[in-house]
Amino acid sequence: MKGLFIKDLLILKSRKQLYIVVLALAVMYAVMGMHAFAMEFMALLGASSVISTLSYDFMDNGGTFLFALPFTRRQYIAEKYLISYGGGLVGMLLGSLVVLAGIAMGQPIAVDEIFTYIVVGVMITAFMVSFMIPLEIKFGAEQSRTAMFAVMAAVMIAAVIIARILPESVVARVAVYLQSLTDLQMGLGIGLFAVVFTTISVLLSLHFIQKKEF
Amino acid sequence: MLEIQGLQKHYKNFDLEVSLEVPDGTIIGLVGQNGAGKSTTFKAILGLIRTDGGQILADGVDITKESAKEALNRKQNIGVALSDSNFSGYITARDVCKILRSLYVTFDEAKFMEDCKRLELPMDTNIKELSNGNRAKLKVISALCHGAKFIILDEPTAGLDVVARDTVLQLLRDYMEQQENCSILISSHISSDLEGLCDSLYMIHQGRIVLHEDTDVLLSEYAVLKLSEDEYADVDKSHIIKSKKESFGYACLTKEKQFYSENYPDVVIEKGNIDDLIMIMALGGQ
Repeated sequence: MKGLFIKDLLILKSRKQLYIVVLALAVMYAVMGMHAFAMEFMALLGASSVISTLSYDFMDNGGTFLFALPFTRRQYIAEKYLISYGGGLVGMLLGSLVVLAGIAMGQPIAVDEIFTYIVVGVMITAFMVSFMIPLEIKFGAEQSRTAMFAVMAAVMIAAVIIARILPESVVARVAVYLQSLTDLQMGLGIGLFAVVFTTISVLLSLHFIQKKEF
Repeated sequence: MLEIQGLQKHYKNFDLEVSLEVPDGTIIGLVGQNGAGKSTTFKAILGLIRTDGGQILADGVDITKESAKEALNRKQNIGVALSDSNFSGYITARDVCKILRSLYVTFDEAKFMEDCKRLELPMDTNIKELSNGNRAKLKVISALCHGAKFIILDEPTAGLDVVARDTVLQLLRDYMEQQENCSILISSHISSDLEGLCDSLYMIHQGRIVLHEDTDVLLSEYAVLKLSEDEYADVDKSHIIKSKKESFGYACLTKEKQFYSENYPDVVIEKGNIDDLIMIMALGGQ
């Protein structure tokens, strides 16, 4: 599996100019006081750029050769999730540094706001990783984007329908309950949600990769 | 030793059903038209597709039923170069070395670097920017750098000029000398490569093996009879394997060159070669 990590890191290295531009943009946002955007932007970029190595793996029929090399399909999936979450984490850490730079340059921020940004960053990473990896494996780079939009649209439509079907009193009670949660409770809830979401995603990815032919 | 027994793979418009053997210490060629089933056979051996029947025995073990861990151990002993597939184009030959070093337990970095130097491969240029020839060289070098006992090469010399082709073929010959009991299964469209390299050849056509012969026998005993319409009508066809209609009459493939040269001295008889074999076997009638 070490070879797979090295492969992905080398592919990511080839895109270093893009990261420099993005980092510069993030610094600009932080200096302008848009801390949240700077941090979430970096988390999103960290996770999504690592996930994009899946496209590189399968580009130009590359999967055929890659999967003839000595690693198991299970190891491939494990590596993709680990490195993608790693990408999101590195993105958030860099985002935090950017936010600190913004604070140092005269854009103050409340401590509890940083906590919220981190929680949202985890949520963004979990969503990106959990949605994109199985979709990329199942549909490939091009079709997976369409599938992603379709899934997100379906989730939003389902949420709207559920909100309309449920009696107003229930919706209001849920909203009040969510507002009553402390930051810690909210963070734990989102963390649990991310774990469940990722577990389902891993199982789906394993199913798709085991079925995949090259 | 690799034995493929009645391997089946069914697609919507194509059915593969092949049996072949690759004994230890031999180089076996697989020839056929595009779409004949060569790559599908290779993919089945590499576990890249599910099979619909038959067995693929590697040293007696059916690899279609092996566990992921068994497959992992087996792949450590396989070297692969595929015609239409490679590492990502965004990494370099030096990067490939780093990746292979981490994947193969017995990776020989010194050999990899030495072969790259010998074949004048640019080490720090992205693969997508390499010429077709250099890409092909990198694939072959990568397949031969971890002491694999079984090598699969799908069109390894495609896109190479004469000099580079000879260098790659020499790499293969050297490898066979250095690695005891190593075997190679190779496909190529360049018949002269196979004629000079392989111990025996399988011809695959529309998913079926239609001919298996030792290369020496193929080159010494097979021949193409070039017959006019009248000669074709009169000739004894019992030793003709296949005939193909031509503008001058018929081109007929036979394994009994001697018989026809003795009994039909006026008939034009050309020495057999792999290109003729493919043409007549693929396009000819009974």
